[in-house]
Amino acid sequence: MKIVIDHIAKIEGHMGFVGHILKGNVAKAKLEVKEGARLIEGLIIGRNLEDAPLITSRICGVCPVVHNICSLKALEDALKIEVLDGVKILRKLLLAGQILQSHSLHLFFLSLPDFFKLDHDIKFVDEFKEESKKATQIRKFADKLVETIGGRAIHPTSTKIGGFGRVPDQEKLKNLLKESKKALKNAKDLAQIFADLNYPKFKRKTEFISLSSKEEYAYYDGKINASDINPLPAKKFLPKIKEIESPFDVVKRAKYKGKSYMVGALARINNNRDQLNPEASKLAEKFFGKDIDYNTFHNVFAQAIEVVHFAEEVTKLLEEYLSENFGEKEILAPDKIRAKNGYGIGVCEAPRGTLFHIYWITNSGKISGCNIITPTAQFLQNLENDLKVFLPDLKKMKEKERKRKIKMLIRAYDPCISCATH
Amino acid sequence: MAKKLKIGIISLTSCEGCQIAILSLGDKLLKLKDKVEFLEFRYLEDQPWPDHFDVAFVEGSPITKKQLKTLKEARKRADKLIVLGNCAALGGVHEIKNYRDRNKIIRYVYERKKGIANPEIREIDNFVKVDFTIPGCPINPEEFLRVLKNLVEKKPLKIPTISVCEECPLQGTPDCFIVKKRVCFGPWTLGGCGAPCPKNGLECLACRGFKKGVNLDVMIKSLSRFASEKELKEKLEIFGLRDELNS
Repeated sequence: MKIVIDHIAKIEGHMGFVGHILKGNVAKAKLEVKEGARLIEGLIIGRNLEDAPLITSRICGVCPVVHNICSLKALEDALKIEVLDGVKILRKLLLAGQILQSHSLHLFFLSLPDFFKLDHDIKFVDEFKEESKKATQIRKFADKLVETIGGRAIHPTSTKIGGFGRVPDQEKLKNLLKESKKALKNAKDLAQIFADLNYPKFKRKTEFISLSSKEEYAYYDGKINASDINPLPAKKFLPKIKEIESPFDVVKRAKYKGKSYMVGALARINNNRDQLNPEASKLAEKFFGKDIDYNTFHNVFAQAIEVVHFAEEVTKLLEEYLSENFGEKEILAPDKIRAKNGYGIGVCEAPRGTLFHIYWITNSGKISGCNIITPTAQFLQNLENDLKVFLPDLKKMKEKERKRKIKMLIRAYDPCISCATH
Repeated sequence: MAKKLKIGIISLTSCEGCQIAILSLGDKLLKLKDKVEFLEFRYLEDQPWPDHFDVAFVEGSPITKKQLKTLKEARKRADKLIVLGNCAALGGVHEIKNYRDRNKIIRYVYERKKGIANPEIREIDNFVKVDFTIPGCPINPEEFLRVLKNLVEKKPLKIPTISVCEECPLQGTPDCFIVKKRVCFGPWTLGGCGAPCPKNGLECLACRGFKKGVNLDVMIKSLSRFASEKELKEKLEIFGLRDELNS
């Protein structure tokens, strides 16, 4: 039995699927990426290092902020620049805002209509008026947060090596603090909907990789965590990952010790569940209990929990920032940067998982080498392997239902093909 | 009830930030649902293309052969074709490779580059007739909304013609890049964005393209007091504008 889905809508970027269900429980599955390669890593070679965060932010319009900040962190690592606490808090707020932006879009507009078999969001919004309003409030709040600190909701303009180009407006931050409480309430209400959804039954053991930190539910900093190692700094961890090239595939899929693995919300919650903020923690405990969860459809609910977690996180960070009275001295970026030959790694948790930016720089302040490993390039093989195991379960279904289920699993991963290709 | 405007948002290779900018309109976009029908917008629906669009909005660059076919098909099915954002209008960041050895660049990224398209990057109007352009990286969502409303009301389409500099709150202040003798393309760049870059400490890199009728030789001459011509050209490569200097 052959299954072809030419075009998978409601994911970021362009991808198709081809599958075969053979005799017994054997199946073949292939994800076909249909995106053009922009060759971003090659484009920045020889350019001024300040160009890298601007250009790499354009890898993705859904998560530009995290590419931008990861790029800045990698350059600062190479330049041996340590940012001050105020800058760190603002960057964390930006990342938290980014995760809220991306998850709220994916959860309510890309993924949830699947569970109600609605093929157009306008129908969905008509049927779920209250829920849509709440989802839109969260998304709007996150946009405003990113704009207030980053200068713009998409593709930040104020972020620089060592700091910011401008100190954010205190009054606006105070208003955001008030709104964050409403966002948290809405996030909790909506998480309940996701807790009650009927997720398809599925289980396949796999490796979950994410940042982990002793201090917090890691997203801005930390070591890399996998089940068979003690958390390692990025530099020691990276040699264990290999990007594999295959003919006609624009995505270099990553493998950990030769095997596929999962990154993203479910990986983070599996690895760092104990460190979730209080409200998010209650939800996680009720739904997941203590065990590792191997049903990747639950990545959707894991994102819903993270929306609660990061709404709590934003409140916490804004309170901390506003209590410190940071001024230009603590926030503004240095005017001049002295470059030295070097190499730096930036690592952050992007909405879809661990993101690596790696640069080599020269004495004259140019980029001489670059590698970017995105979350989707890391989990694409895992998704394909899941599909292989999932397909035989669908053998007896009608074609339409079978395709719907396949698309549901693909969307549960929230793949970003623009990122994966870059 | 009047007939709804049938539109499509079609995306080629890009970051898709212009589509996300449209989605960020939220309620403002939903308010138009009785007047506008989104027949193709992959973030909202999972349905096949219709035979006809009143307006097709196109984002991104046609990098693969399939995407070029998609673009031509969109043109065929649409009364009006409007391009969205810097990639479609001016080439986008990936146009940088046009000014370098692009075979070397692809070999840097892929050891085996078999089956991977690597064409010279060209703006959409090189392939199909373009009726209107909404510029920027990303587009200004409010500007998109104004254009959409004008389309619904069958009013002429227009965007502001002032420069970024005229919108910039730093113009003439000690913080102005030009006053600080630093490069900023604001005085020559088409405004309408609200100057989010210069007012946040980033020079204008002209992502919306140059204002009509400006003298680019004069621009280069003025700015070469602060940076070499080579540096200026490199800056203009970021948003696909270096080739505008010669045309």
